[in-house]
Amino acid sequence: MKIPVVAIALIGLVLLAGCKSTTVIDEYRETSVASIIGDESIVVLGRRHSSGYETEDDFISCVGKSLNQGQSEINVIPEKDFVDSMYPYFETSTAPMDVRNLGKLAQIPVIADKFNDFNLRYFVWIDGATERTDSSGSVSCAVGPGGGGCFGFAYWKDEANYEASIWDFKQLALSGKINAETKGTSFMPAIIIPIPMLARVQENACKSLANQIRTFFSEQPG
Amino acid sequence: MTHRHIYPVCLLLILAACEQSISLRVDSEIPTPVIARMPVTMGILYRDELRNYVYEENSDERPNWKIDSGSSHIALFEQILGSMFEQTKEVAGTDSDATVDAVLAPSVAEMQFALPAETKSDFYEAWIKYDVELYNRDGSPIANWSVTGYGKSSTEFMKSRDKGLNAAVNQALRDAGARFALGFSRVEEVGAWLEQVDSSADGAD
Repeated sequence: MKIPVVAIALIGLVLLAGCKSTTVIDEYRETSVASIIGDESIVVLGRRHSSGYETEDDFISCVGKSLNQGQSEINVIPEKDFVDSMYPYFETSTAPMDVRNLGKLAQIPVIADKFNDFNLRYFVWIDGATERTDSSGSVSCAVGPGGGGCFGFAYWKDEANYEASIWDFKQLALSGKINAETKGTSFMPAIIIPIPMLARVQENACKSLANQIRTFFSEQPG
Repeated sequence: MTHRHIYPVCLLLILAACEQSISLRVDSEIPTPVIARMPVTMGILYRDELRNYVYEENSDERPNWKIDSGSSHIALFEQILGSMFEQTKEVAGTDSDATVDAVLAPSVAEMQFALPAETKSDFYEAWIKYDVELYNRDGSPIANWSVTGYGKSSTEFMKSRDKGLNAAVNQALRDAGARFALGFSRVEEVGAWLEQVDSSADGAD
């Protein structure tokens, strides 16, 4: 009886280890200084002009909330509040695609007043998405007069790829870019009940990207 | 096939048809634009076709589709035009009216929709094309041009088809409103008319 218990425990450990996700972060700095002074704020915005994918609202909100928490808290303007209050200049089809166009926008007096009201220093534009790259297996469930249950095994692989471009509004220049790539495999074995073991790829990409953005503003290269 | 078998089959067919049919009244939310007002009193003509616009389709792929967006178009133009011009006034026609500088008459030229199952994507999509006519206060035409808007909304867990479509239409309305507001003075004939209005105001001063 000992062998099956050990085998099940080992399989469980392998699955748990397998459902972890890995993140690779790349950072590129254009300017040596990038810091938030006093009560200056930043806004985290999603790029949604691609036809094949859309940077998810909940990902942008997750990055914003993560930056807004912790010890070195950053004042982040929520994306919806910002885009609504700047309507019609930050819609998918009208938002500035580069810093030069942001400069032109800032010359419009009503826009300049709004930016001042927000005490805005940095724009963080995030472009990317989380996609399912592979899935296999199946879980079947059945219900009968004597009860019900599920049996089977399924797994799926997710890949998150996001790039954050940081624009300095005061200098009207690109401060840098951060790329986060997270991969993970989730499993769902089912013996009577399905037990999902999720890799939480998008959530991990969000936390990793937010941590790197925080570091970008707090650490200056030597 | 006995009667006993026919009834469940009929029920399944009815359920399948209900699943594909759509009856939706678009609920839109357009923010107040931050744009400088033009020194113009603009008459607005909302024709009944715009007020009561309903997209209807009844095909094998889209049985009994009915998407009522009339009130959303009116809400969009009220919000946008009210912020673009110093004064707006609803008018009943494009005939001569000395109380306004010009009359604007928007109409829906076309609306299109796509469901995730149709495009094999993860998005509900909506397109809107407006035809816009601008008339002088004496009723003579100044310009007519088209404004388009596109919106998409992702499929999410527990998000109903109606909610997905409504979100896509709302995005398309916002987009069309943004393009209209920012593109108005860039229409060649409109730009020339605005210059004329400016110079006559300067002359009056």
